[in-house]
Amino acid sequence: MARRLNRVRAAWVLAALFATMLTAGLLFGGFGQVLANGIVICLDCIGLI
Amino acid sequence: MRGRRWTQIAGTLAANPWFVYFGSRTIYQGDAKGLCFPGFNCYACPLALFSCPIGALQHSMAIVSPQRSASAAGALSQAARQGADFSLAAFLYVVGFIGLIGIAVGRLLCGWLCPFGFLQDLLYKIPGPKLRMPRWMRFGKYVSLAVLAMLIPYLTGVHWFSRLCPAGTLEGAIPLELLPPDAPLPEIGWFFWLKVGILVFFLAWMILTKRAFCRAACPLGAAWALLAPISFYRMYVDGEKCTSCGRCREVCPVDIEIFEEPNSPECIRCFDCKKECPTGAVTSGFRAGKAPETEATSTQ
Repeated sequence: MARRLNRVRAAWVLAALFATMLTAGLLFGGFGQVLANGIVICLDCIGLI
Repeated sequence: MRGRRWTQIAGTLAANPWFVYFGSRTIYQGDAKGLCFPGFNCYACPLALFSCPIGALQHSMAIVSPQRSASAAGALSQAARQGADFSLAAFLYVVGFIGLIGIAVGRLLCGWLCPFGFLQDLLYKIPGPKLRMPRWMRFGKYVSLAVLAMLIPYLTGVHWFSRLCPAGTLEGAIPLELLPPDAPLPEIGWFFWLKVGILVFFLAWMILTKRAFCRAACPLGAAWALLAPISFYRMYVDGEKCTSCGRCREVCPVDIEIFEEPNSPECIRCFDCKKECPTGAVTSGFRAGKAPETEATSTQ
């Protein structure tokens, strides 16, 4: 029982942490940084560099 | 056709709907590329609409790399930084995105949505000799995540996982060579053929072994596997109903024994075991707040 409660608690703590990270990332320009990387042809991905 | 096949087809099409490319030969450059697709799909694919979460993760590490100004990726990263308020923003965004999915459903999207997982399911159907994967190989995906997708991009400013990625070769390099975009591409060199060799190796392995790439090399699967044992969505096995007939193990696409560890990091939650279980011992759901009668005896 205690083990299960610890797991549930850990899951909620991590969920809150990831939600905070996602929100902070979006607020501070993460979307634009990913977009800037995504809109070019990724020469790394296609092995042409 | 089973429901999972339909969602895998839908996932593949949702990740790659830019059929305009065949007419325009122009890579999609709209805002959707700022979103990560919740599966393993190369954003260099001419049909891709979204970014690859692992490509974005590597980029987020390359942005903050001390070597960024000395590499092509670094130059790209610097361009990306011009409009950036905070250099760790991409890292927070990508890790938050991957982590939220992992903590919610574990590796469920590997089984139901991932285009590269779908390819592996199809390739394994090719008749012929089959091989089981030794257990130690499953640790390869964690090395792939920690070293190739995070540490090396940070140290060198170069997306080394993408450079070696078989999905990148299959979905990006080969299609772009066969149907080149209107922008000029560099000449093919030896590295291209190295990538093709890696792809051929993995394709052959996928035919011989169930979900070979997922289990041994996928960094996205590794990230979700770390969270699967404590995710909100859970698998349960009723120890009283289970007769240990082994049918679940036979149909499992990742060769796990769910009756021993229902929430194994390896489980992709395809529910094939649930469907095949003759006694209905395998169940699943969001029941984190309640204690199913069987959880104490079945959940690790």
